[in-house]
Amino acid sequence: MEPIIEMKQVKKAFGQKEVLKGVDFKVYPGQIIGYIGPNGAGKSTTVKIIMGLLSQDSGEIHIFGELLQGNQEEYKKRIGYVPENADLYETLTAAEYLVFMGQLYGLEEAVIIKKAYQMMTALGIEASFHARLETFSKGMRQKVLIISSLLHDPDVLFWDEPLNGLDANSVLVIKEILVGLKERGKTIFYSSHIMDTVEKLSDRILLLNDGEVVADGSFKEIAQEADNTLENLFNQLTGFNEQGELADAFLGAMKGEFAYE
Amino acid sequence: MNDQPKSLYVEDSKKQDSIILKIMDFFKFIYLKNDIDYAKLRLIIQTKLIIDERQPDLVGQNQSAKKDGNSFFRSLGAYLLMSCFTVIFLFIGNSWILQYATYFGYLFFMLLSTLIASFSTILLDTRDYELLGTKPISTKTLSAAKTTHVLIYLLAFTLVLGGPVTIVTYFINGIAAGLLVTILTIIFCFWTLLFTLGIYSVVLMKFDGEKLKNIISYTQIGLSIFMVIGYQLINQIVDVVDIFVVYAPQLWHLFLFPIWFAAPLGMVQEGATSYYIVYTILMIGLSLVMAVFYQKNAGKMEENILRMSESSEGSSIKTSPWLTISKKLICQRPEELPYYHFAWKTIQHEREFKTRIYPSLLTSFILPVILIFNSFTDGFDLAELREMDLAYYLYFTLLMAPELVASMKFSTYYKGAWAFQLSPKSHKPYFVMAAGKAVWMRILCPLFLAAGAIFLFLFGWDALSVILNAFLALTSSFFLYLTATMKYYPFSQERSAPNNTEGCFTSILFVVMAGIVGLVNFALDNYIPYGGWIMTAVLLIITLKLLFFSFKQK
Repeated sequence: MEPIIEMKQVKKAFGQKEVLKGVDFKVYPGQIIGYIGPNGAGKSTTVKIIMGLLSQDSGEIHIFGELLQGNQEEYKKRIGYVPENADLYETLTAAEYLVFMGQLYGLEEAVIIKKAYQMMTALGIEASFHARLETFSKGMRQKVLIISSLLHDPDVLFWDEPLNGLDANSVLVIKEILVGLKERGKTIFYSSHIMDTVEKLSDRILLLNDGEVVADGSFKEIAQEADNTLENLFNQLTGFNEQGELADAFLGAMKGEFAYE
Repeated sequence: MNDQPKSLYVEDSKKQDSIILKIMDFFKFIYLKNDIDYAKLRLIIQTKLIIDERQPDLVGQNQSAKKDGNSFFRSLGAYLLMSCFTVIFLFIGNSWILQYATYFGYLFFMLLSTLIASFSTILLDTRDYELLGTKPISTKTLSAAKTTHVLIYLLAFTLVLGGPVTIVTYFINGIAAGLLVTILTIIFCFWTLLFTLGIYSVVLMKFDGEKLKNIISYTQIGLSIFMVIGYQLINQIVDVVDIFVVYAPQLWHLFLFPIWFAAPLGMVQEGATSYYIVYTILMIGLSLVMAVFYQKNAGKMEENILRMSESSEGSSIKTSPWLTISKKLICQRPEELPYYHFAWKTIQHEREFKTRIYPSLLTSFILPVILIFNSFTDGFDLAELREMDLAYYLYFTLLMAPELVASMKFSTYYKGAWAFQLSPKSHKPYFVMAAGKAVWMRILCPLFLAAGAIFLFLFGWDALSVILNAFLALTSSFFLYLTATMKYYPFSQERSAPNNTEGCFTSILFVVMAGIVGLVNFALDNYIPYGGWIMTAVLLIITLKLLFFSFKQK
């Protein structure tokens, strides 16, 4: 099977700081890929490079079999993207925003309205269809972003922290949507800090640490031990086991007991 | 699920086919010829115009309040009033080249300062790139959308600024001259935009990250200085005394592009002299070069703008000892201290604050100096200068007060203002006063010190009381205007580009006020012994009261 995304030794630095130190992986159709790593590991940078928002310093990226050079537009028609932090056009209503986004993919206004209203109803926010986004809660905004990434029925989804701000019931719905998308042959590439969700949903886990892929495979393949959890694995692979000491230092500081010079 | 909506713009159906979009449709072929996806560009512009229309007004805090029309277009009335005065250019002397060079100089001054202060944010915006850049739109289309968005406002602004002179030209100089001025004014608007874009393009090619942001700030401040000096040079060629003498070309005039634009009119009046032909060729040539440069680099520029958002490691920031000393000196109550510190740091680090405020401050700062130098037609003479009562021009620095107060409302990081609203110690009056003191100490005092030193050098110690009075009048009017008009927490409002030109009436008010206070000072100096110094004492008491005794003691 041909990979739909292939990254070869992709490097990126901001000033003196090397954020990606040679990232390699291949993504195949119909997979849910959990892309995880500590804060600052380079997850969002990788996604932004794939989306053409940033350019890599070196290395190659192939998308749908074609070499990515600069900001190409054709491949973006087949991708849906949910950014981690996006500035929405707050003075637009949800309907206006979604129609605008849909039209940028060449969809008809009437079709978008119908789709968007159905999707908003399924996610329980249809009452706010004509409300301005500035009145939306964080979870509602996240739902709008998720809907806007799906309006054009893309083949590949990049969802950066898609569960941010969602309540428990909405998380359940989104998880079901993810499974449904996979069953329809879509590829979902998502990053999350909720290890439990990543562990249960992902066909494959890519763990990035300090700008490099340190684990790549299904959870069973990378778990090493039968009773291991992804959270433990995450801690082991990122070399982190100081949580107790750090929490003590933090709580001590509240009382004026300072652990650091 | 049964009552599914069919219409999108429930309340804004009239906006879907606004006149602006219809005019744009007329020029569709230009976009298509340049490989721009016009349908997507139109969609982006349509949405952006709706967003602009719904931006909260500067005056009203109610964001959902519906206003009729875009606030930028509403604010143009004040500029129309102001630009009616520019018709006077056409009645000074009888040399068209000089008259229209002054007009184009004024136009360039106004357009460039608006471009830098209000529209650079649109041109260099990266905020919505994550939404638009991830959609199937070429960078060329995105760049053209930004440029068109700015151009819509700039053309409207040009229409208002140049309208009166253009219309009067038809009546007094004939239809041919009128048509020529119309065409040249429109070209000049494009020219100014391309000039700004060209400079940004070059800067964007050379730098990235934090350095790029700094360089862009310096470029904007540099452009402002260039603009003020350029305008001064235009004034120099218009010899007020010998105005009826025909235009005498000099080699250095080749660099004054407002003259290039006036040259075709010079040809209509005086015939095609060799230097008018050279100026016209320069105008057409450079316009074409800039247009081609833009066409070739528009997409590249958009990609380079993105590099501004690439974060790099920040350098460590030290607290200036002057901040520590000044806050102890000037903050009367302990409640003011944290706010003073915060405002100081905001002014120090927020690039947008600096790039918006310095160009307009510089204008207020340089205006008195320009007025003085314009008073000399036969070469500058210090002794002659001291004979004249020109030190009172310093009162025009009062214009800095409303500019600064207006800019203190806004911040790029306005969303952080929730911290003040939640804080149990948040006392708005203390915050307003402390922020005012920080702005006064960090911006007004150094700028006035420089202006005062120049005036002291020019006019000698005799002008000391005028300099002190102007400073005290500036200080007290700044604090009075601040406390009277600051309805919000300082730095708590979002800057929206089209809204930021609404200070025109206030500026006119302050010009009148500067004139009145200057006249009072002049009268006191001339008709009452030690009158100027009596005024100093009164103003000092008012200033001290405003600075240190504005809060009731607990």
